[in-house]
Amino acid sequence: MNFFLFILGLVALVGVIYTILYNGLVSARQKVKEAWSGIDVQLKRRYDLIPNLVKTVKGYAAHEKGTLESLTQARAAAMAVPKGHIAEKASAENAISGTLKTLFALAENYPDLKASSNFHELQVQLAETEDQIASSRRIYNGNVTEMNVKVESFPSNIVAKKHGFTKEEFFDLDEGEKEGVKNVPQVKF
Amino acid sequence: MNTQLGIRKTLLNQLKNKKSPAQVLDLAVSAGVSKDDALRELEAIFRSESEYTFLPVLGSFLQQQKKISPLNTPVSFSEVWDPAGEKITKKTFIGATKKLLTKYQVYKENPGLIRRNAILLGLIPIGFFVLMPLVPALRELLFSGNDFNWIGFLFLPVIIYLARIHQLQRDLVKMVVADEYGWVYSSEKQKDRWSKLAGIYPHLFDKGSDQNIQDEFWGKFRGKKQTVDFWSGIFEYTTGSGKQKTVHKKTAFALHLNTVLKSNFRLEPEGDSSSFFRFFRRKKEIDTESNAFNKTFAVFYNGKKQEKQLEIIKILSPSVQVRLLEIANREGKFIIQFQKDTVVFIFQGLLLQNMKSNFFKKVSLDARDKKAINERINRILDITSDILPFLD
Repeated sequence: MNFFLFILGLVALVGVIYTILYNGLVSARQKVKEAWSGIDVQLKRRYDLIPNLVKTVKGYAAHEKGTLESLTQARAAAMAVPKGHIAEKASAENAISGTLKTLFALAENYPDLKASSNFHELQVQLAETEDQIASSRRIYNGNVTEMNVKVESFPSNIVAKKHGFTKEEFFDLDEGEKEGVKNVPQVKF
Repeated sequence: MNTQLGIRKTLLNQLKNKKSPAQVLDLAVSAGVSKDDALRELEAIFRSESEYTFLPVLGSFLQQQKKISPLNTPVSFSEVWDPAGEKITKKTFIGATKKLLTKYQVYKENPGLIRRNAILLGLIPIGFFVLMPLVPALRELLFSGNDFNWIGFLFLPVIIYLARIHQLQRDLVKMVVADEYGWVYSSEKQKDRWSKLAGIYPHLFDKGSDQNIQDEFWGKFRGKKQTVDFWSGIFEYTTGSGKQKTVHKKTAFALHLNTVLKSNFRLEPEGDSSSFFRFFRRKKEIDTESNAFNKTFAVFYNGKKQEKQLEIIKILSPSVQVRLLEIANREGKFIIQFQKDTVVFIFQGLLLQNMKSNFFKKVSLDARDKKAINERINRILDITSDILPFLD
């Protein structure tokens, strides 16, 4: 009888642990999706600002047609990336960031454009959006790290394999950003 | 350019005529002024003027020349912003400041006075034990009971004196830093200041007993993106009683926002409240999209979760979350209250630990103490003010 109760208790314990591990994986995956939503919101905000920017710059710097067209094409390409294609999305977004940097550098040659309040406002909003994108990326990559650790480490890897939990992709930064941006800090008091 | 004032006036005029700081420096040197003198005068202009558009450029130039600490400039003002809503100006504490300076002057003019006083006070217990065999009344006092704790009281005068000298050193270092940046400083322990702050921010300041606010700074800080009004102070309170009595000292910073937040809420280190209370709090908890943030901070607010969640999440954007995590990494555990047009931080510990100044050896302030306070204040204000543009 005692042996039977012991086995029962052991099974119950294993069951509880299994449930905790499973729920942990579900929660981690959900957090990755949530963090991706956060990035998406900021990217959409950037998409919305770009047409205004192109229109403003065209009015003052028509000669920079090439750069403006590159920006418009980069935006369209990024918006066309299907959902779930993280690496492709990262590459497309990096192309937009690169073109924006080029455009703002070129704007230095047009004092009238620089003095335009509309352009200044767009520049400020885009700079803020870039910062939010960078921060959202860090948060997303932090959540992905946690998810991947759970998927790979014992004993949660057993539960992960059984229920089809897989490693998530990082939202890779371009080389320039990789130098400056660290992972989301793991705070240890 | 013969006199100091003449040099400064000439340099100022050239800067006003849209010459760059480097050009102004070159002109001064070619006119026969030494580079050090010219830089000193440029620094004086930087510190004393407030209205000119060339100031940020001049600040960067001087920073490159390693003449000043980064980012800050004193700004002349009449009234400073105060989180308790009081009217504070430089004149408010002029009496206390003069008192501090007078004490310092006395000790500076009589360098051996501190050591002499400490020795004289230290002689009290020694004198007691020397005289004890000779004076029957003293012998009786010593051997009458079994309790010898009263002997400690003999050392009290010298201990109190040493503590006061130590406090004077700390107050002076802070006063010098405040003066350099044009900030207002008060070293006084004030119960009524605490009472006002506790009334406005009860969750932060309504703790323990014997509370007071001391070592306060008020001023403007020029951050990377904007100039911000700030206040800083030490919040002291006591918990427990008798042998379990503990005195706590926390450093508080308050920053004034350009906007009024839609929601008031507070972040505390996750895990600080007991798991018993956390269990009941679970349903009200607001989680952001960041695991790291949720593990580090617990969000406290009044009202219904459905109403507050969206507003709080909007304020805690990714940029704000990441910066708050950076602050936690650098400065350790802290509490932050977002309330109307103010953000208040409460950090563990004091601005200045392990003083290097020692008035017993030499009555002067050690440059390392000034540098330590400078760096700590700048570091905290720099990183905390970095959040503000994302809250506007």
